Amino acid sequence: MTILVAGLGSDQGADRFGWEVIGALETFVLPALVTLVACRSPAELTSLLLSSRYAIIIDAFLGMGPPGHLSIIDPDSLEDFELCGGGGAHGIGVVEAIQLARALGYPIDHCQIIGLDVTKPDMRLESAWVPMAVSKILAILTNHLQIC
Amino acid sequence: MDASPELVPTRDIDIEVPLLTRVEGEGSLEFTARNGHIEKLQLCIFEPPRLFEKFLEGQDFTEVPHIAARVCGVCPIAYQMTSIRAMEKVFGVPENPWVHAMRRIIYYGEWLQSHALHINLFAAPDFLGFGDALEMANRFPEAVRRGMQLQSLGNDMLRLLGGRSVHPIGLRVGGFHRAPTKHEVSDLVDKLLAAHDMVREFAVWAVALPCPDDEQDYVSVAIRHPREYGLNEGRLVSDAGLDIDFSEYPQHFREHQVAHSTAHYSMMDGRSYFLGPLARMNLNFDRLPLEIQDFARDLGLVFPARNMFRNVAARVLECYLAIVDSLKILQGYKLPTRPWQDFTLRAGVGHHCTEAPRGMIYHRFEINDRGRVIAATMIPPTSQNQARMEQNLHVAVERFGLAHSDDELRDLCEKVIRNYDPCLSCSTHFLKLRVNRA
Repeated sequence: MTILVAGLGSDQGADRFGWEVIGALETFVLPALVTLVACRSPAELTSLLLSSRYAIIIDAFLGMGPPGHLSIIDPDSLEDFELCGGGGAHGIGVVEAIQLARALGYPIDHCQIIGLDVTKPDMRLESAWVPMAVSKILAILTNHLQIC
Repeated sequence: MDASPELVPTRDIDIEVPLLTRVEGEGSLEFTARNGHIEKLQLCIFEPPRLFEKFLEGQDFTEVPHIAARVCGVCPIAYQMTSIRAMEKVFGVPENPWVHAMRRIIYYGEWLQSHALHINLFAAPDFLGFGDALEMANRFPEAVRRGMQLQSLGNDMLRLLGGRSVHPIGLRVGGFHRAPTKHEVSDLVDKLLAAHDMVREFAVWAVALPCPDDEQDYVSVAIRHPREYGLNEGRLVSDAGLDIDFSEYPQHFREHQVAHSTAHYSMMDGRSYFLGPLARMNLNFDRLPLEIQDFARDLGLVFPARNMFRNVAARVLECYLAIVDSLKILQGYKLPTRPWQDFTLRAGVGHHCTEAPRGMIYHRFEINDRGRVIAATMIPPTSQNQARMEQNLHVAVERFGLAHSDDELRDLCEKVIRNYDPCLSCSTHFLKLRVNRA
């Protein structure tokens, strides 16, 4: 069982956030049990969660600002956020993918979502946002690995 | 699905489905019936033109695979592979055996993830009477979990050679940018071995799903190869006598516009035709490994099949094929001297077809002597299937009986359309009906 770090996104503007964070994390030497995945669609997420013991999901969301604000989102309150990857391919969004994993026995408290507030769908991805998220994720991973 | 006499309606029906909600595009369905007969039944795709063929003009050939991948988020390999092979025809690059085998692996990965997703999350809830996959997962968690594992394995296969499953970057004209290490291949072989029994269980379950009978008269078109199950190479054949080189595609297949759809309709020698897993299985069953042929017979499957819902069985047999053939290739894996072949740029026109998960895709590329694209044509399977889908709907709805309720008619239409696994039918609840009865 791995520790999953999954970045959701697309190649459009600030929605690239999830993929860019994964790209940045790939430049670090991480423990072998950490799996980094840039997700093409939330439909991939369920099976990835099911093969992990702990997961960090990264996505951009349309919030009230300020742009670039990072939030740790509780999976149970995910429906209150308008995630950029929310609709997803095939009608399966992040919410549905996580609900499906939960229905299949995935312990939802083993999952954290890091959301970047991009405020508007056409927002540019600012270069400072990615390292900020990378630092946060590395801290979470370090903490988690120490506990384990 | 035969209509009983009491179901012949005495009323007129006007049903409009204003929005087929989906991710890869938008469309609607409307039909009008008078005196017990359908007057109009149109699948309207109103997705705006995406202009990728125009974007490619003037681009260097090295950029084409990356741009072509963006046409479809679900099957980027189909677009990359077909464009690469068409350009290789221009440059005179023959496929060496290593490249040929690895291309099958990555394409199988795309088939496996796409088919497993479709059967597990979109088709099965239809046939088992669940509103969606989540509802089904609460009742049949093990079955859903198994499908998710196969989908995940398909993505692993994509990553092995594509570098990532998001718009893979591993493919290039001549082969691949990088050869997987033996260790990476060994890890995947272990997963494929573990999935062998799982895919057989998946197949038994999928074939037993209570699918409707929908016998139809149609023409199957698919790639056929002298030795392999048609995928990346071969000739284009049909069960109506077509047997052509890919370069002859424009002489037999013609696109035309219709007022109600932004997607072009395509006809083969003046008639509609059918693409996809069932068409492939109808024309290539004898190219499956004997292990899979015997397994299919044991399940009572016979191909060619006329029941359109045998598409589910064909899909699941292709999942099985993806695992068996990938194991055969990767268990004998050897690192190549170099994962691509050299070539010299030259001007010309190249045509190629491959089998996307949803059916055959055709590309034509005209390249100048500096390797830049002069013109590109890319014809996806969904638009080629559009005319057939409408005919399928027409026959299925009339047989079912127009006196059924709107919900029942909508349910049937959803099943029929979703059975093609077109990009436009991707969501689990995609038909919103507005009904006007005279």
